[in-house]
Amino acid sequence: MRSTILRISIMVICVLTAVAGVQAAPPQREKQVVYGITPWTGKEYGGTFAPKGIDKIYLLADSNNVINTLETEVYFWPITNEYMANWFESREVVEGRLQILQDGKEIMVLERQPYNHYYPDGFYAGTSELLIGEEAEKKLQEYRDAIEGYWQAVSEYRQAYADYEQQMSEILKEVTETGKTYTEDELPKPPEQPTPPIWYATEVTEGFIVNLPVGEYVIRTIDDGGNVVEGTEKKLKVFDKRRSGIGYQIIPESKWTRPVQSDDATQILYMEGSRTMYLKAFYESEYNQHDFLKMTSLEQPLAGEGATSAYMWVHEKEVPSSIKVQVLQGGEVIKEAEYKPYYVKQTPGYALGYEIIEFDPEAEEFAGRRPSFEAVKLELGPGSYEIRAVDSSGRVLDGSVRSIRSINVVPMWQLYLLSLLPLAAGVVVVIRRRRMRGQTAKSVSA
Amino acid sequence: MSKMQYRANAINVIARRDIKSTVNGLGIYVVASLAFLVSMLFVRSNLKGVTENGLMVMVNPLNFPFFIAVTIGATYLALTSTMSVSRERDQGTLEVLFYGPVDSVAYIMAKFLEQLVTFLGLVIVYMVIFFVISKLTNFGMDGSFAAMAGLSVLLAASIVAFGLLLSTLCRSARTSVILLLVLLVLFLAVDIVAGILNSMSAKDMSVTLVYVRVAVDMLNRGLQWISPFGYLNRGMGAMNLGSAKLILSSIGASLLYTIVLLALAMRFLDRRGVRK
Repeated sequence: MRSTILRISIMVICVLTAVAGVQAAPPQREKQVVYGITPWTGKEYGGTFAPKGIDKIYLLADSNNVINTLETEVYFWPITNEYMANWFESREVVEGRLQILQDGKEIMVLERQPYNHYYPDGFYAGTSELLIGEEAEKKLQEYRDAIEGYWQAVSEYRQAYADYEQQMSEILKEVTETGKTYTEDELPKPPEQPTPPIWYATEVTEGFIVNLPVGEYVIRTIDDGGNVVEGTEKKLKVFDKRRSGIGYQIIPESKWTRPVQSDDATQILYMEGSRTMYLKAFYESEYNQHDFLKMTSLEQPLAGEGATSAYMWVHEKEVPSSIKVQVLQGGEVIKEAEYKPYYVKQTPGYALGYEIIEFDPEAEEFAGRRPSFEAVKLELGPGSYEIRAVDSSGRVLDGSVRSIRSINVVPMWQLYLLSLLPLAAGVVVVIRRRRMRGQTAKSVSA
Repeated sequence: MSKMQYRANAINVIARRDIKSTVNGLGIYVVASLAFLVSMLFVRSNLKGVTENGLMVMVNPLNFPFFIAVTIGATYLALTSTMSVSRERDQGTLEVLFYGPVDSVAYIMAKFLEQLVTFLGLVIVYMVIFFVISKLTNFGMDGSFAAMAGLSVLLAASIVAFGLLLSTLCRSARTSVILLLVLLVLFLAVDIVAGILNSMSAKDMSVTLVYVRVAVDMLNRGLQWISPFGYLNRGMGAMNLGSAKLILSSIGASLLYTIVLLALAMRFLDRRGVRK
């Protein structure tokens, strides 16, 4: 009996081990020639690639996009339904030029150009710029110089700080020994710590810079002899925005982590009673959802599928903080609010949980803190309003007008009663007609 | 009297008689109330959404309830026109009419105009009641609502023409009514489901839902030139974009669609004849 249990246990363990081995099997990798793509998305530079199984690339019109012909290992990752490239272990540049054709005719042949990305507000903030050719080399050198300068400044600071500490300890010793006192002005000032450069420039690399007008194209990589490199012919769709405007992100005071969005003038903001809200305005563009999602996530074969007739707004960048928001009622400006920094302060207890207060960098309570967000604060009572964004010269920004309406909460029976009005009218018509018919019949029989 | 004058006279007489019959019957009033009751459910849902969330961004919240009311009204009119053509054929009225100065053009046009005039009356009632709802709730009646009201007439025209075509195509009244209802429900369902799927964030979609969206999108693209709702959507899209060229082309396409359906209805009536 005991040996039977042992045998069954061993078999179960063997089966489980085999199954576990099957589940953990790495996906099949295949060496492929792919296009590495860095598309301009209207807001930033993205990153995607076109493996063998994807035959069409999408790019935005009249903007610099980077395409590179590379050889790498590609595998399909079924968990997220996307192709993955093993860039870290396998990445070889496929030499050649990029030939672009339209209607079967060659319209241009591109050579690889040196380029890099420049992040004026740092790698993790703001947008990046694509620098091409000498400009890229120059910016990278500037960055290297700035970093070198920073380390030089740090070294000098350390030396200065050591000197300062030396001076201070001598003064302290003197004070202890002689009892001599020093005024604040007589004491040495500590050196200022240098700050590292916020901006960043990536290493210069080479790629094909593609900038085309709207249209359907075919691209392929050709070698020095003009022969097409196998597996490099793909269709290319270059598309543009359908329209642009100003979008608002509206942060309700009562739910600051759940903002709502108003992307065009048809999207009206409805509120109940008096409300306080914070508005952030963005420049935005509307794109075909299918094309845009394909452009940004080409490695995901399902991205944008079924959305060929849908459009989506993309918030590109925030409007400058010098922009003001005007509130109008009955066509007259009743309020004008400007961008201010706000801080979300957690409150103890069970009440709201937090309060949103204006951030004052000089105030002691905000020392060492940063504002939670910058926005325009609006406090509106019941009524119908219009809002619009105006620049410093008072010009209304195109597409920035929105309606804000407070609703009246009416008992539903009033609306249902209203619905029955046609039925009541019908009953009256039918009764009247029957009476008339009755009178006609009487007069005929009389 | 020329042939055209005879035709105009016949259209006038038949249309007047049928309008009078519709206005004096209880059906149109019941349908109008039913349409409002269904619409009110959507108005209620929008009101509840705002009161629960405090702040809510919506495209005119009266547009969809109005669209539902228009669809119910137009479908009813299409059904009545379908049934009346079949009934008049079954009862021999059609044959008697065609012995006189009535031909397929006059008959179909009269039926079409009757329903269109009735629908115009219905739209006016709709607009008055929606105006009252707008005042009660403060849900605004903006330009998109006016556009919807204007385009709803074209929608009703195409639905009625569609109904007339089916009534001349099918052998029995029952078949034409069932076919009309099935097709309109299909068109509407595809339109609404496509709208919902398109408004969903692509990131939150499961693989199954993506495949459903692909299938619905393909179906929707196939139906957009057949379904009357496809023409309405194009018109609304053009109005939102504010493009005069697109607005005119969508109106033109909708009118052309209606004319083609009416012409086909006349042709099929001629081919099938007026006898039972």
